[in-house]
Amino acid sequence: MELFEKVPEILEGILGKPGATVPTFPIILGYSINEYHKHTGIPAPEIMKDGRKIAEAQIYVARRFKIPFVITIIDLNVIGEAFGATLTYMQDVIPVHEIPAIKTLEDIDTLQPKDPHRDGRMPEIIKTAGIFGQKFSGQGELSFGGCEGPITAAGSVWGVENLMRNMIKNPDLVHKVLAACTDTIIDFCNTQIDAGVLGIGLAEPTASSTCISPQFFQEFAVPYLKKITRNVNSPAFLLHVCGESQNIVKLVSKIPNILIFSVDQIDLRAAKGQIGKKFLILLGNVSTGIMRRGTPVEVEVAAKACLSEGATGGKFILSTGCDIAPGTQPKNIETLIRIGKTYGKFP
Amino acid sequence: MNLLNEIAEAVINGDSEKASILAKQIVDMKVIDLNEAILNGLNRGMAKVGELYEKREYFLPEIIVAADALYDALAVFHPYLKTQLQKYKATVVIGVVRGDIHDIGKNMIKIFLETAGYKVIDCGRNVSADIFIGEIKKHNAEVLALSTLMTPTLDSMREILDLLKHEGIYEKLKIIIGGAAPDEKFAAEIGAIYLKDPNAAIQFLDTYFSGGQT
Repeated sequence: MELFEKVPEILEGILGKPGATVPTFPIILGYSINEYHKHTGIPAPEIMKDGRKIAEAQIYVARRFKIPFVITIIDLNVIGEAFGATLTYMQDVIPVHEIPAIKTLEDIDTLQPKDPHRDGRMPEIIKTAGIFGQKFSGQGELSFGGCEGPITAAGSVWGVENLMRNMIKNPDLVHKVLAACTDTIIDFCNTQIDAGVLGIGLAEPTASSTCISPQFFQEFAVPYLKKITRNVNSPAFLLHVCGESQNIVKLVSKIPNILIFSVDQIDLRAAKGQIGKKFLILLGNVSTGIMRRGTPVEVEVAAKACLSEGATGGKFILSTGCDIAPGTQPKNIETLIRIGKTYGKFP
Repeated sequence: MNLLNEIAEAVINGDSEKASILAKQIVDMKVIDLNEAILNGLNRGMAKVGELYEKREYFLPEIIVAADALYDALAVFHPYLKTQLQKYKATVVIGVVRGDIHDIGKNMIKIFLETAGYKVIDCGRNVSADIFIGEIKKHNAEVLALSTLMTPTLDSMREILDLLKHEGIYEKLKIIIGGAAPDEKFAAEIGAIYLKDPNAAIQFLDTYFSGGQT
C-alpha cells in the first residue's frame, strides 16, 4: 500500500513477514504537549493554539524516542470549539471542555457545518498537517491528520449528557447534531490531507461500549463513520476507541477503509478472532496506567502479553491503549519499544 | 403490580412521565410513607439500573434517562417531605479532580449515593485540593469520593491525598476513588479505596457505616 511505502518495515511487520518485527510505538498526543512545554517553557495554551508549535511538540517527542508516527489530533474538542464550545486552557496539559456550544434546542435548528479555514483551532491544525507533510515525511516517517469522531465531536458540541439522553428521548435531534459535525469533520480532514498528511485518524472514545451500547454504536456512529470514510480523500483510516470495544469489533471491521483499529479495554486474541480474515490492523493495548505508574518490568510483562495475544499472524501494532499520560517515565516508553523489537519478531 | 413496584419499573425504564404520575398518586393516596416510596420504589429501581450497567445491559444513555425519571418523581415528593426526611447515613464530599472535566461518572455515583441515603456535597469538576478540603471541613464529611476519567489527572488525586495527610484529616475520612483511570493498585498506593461502579460504592459504604467489615 502506498501509505506504507516510506515505512516498509512497518508494512512487513503488519503483514507478519518472516524476520520482520511487530511495529511498536506508544500514542503521544497530550504527552507531547506536556513534554514540549517542559522542554521549552512555552505554556501549553500557546502550544495548543499554534499549529507550528503542535507540530514541533510531536516531532520533538517522536524523534527523541524514534517513533515513526505522528498525528495532528491532540485534544478531542477541536470540532466542539469550532462550533462554539468553551474550553479551559491549562498551563501544562491539554485543554478541557467546559461549556457545550448548544445551549438551547433552537440552537440545533440553526446548526451549520464549520469552515476548517476559519473556525476555532482548525486552521492551526491544518498548519500542523502541512508541517508534518514537509518535516515528517522522510524515509521511516508516517504522518496522519485527523480529529475527534462524530459522536465524540457531538458530545463536545452539545454536552455528553444531553447527547446521550436524546439518543433515547429524541434521536432525530441527535442525528441533526451528528450530521453537522460529520460534514465539518469531512471538510477538516480533506483539508488536512491536502496540506500533506498521508492518512486520517479519528478518535471516538464517547462511542465506546463503556458509554453506549453496540446497538447505539450501529445507529449513531456507523452511518457517520461510513460517510466520513467514503468522503474523505484518505487511502486509509485509523479509528481510536478507548474504553471497552470488544462488542463493536465486528461493526468496525465492516466500515469501509478503516485500516487500523486502536483499542484499549479488549481481549486482543478474541478481537482477532472476531476480525477473521478481514484486513483490519489492531493497535494496542498496554494500559496507560501501567505506562504512567508501573515499573519497566511491569511494562515489559504487559507488552509481552499483548504480543502473545495480538501478534500471531500479523495485522498488529504494539502500542498503548490510549494517549500516554504526562509524566510517563522515558524508561517505560523505551521499554515498550524495546520489547516490540526484541520479542515481536516473526519466525 | 403495586405502586412501589410500578414506580421502580418507571425508573428502570427511564419513563419520567409515568414516574411523576405514580409519585403524584402516592402523595394523593397518603397510604405509603414517602421515605418508603423513595427507598423501596425509586432507589430500588435505580439500584437495578446500576446492576444492569454492571452487566452491560444498560449504558450511559439508559442511566441518564433513569436518573431523570427518579429526579422528576423526587420533585413531586419534595414539598411533602419536610418532616419526613430520613437521617443521612453519612456526608460525602464528591468531585472530579483538577485537570479533568468528565463528570458523567461523578454525576452517576452522586445519584446513586443520594438515593441510597447519603448527603452529597458536590464540588463539581476540575476541582482543586483546597476546595475539597474546605468542603470536607465545612460539612464535617465522613467520606471523600474522587473521580477521574483520564490518567494524566491521577496525579491530582495523589496531590489531594497528600494534602489531606498534611492537614491531619486523612485518618478521619473514608476516601473512595473511581472512574476509568484509577485502579486498585493506584488506590492502594495513595491510600484510598478503589470502587469500580456505583453498586460497589454503595455496598462498601453501607457495610462500613453499618459497622461491618470493609
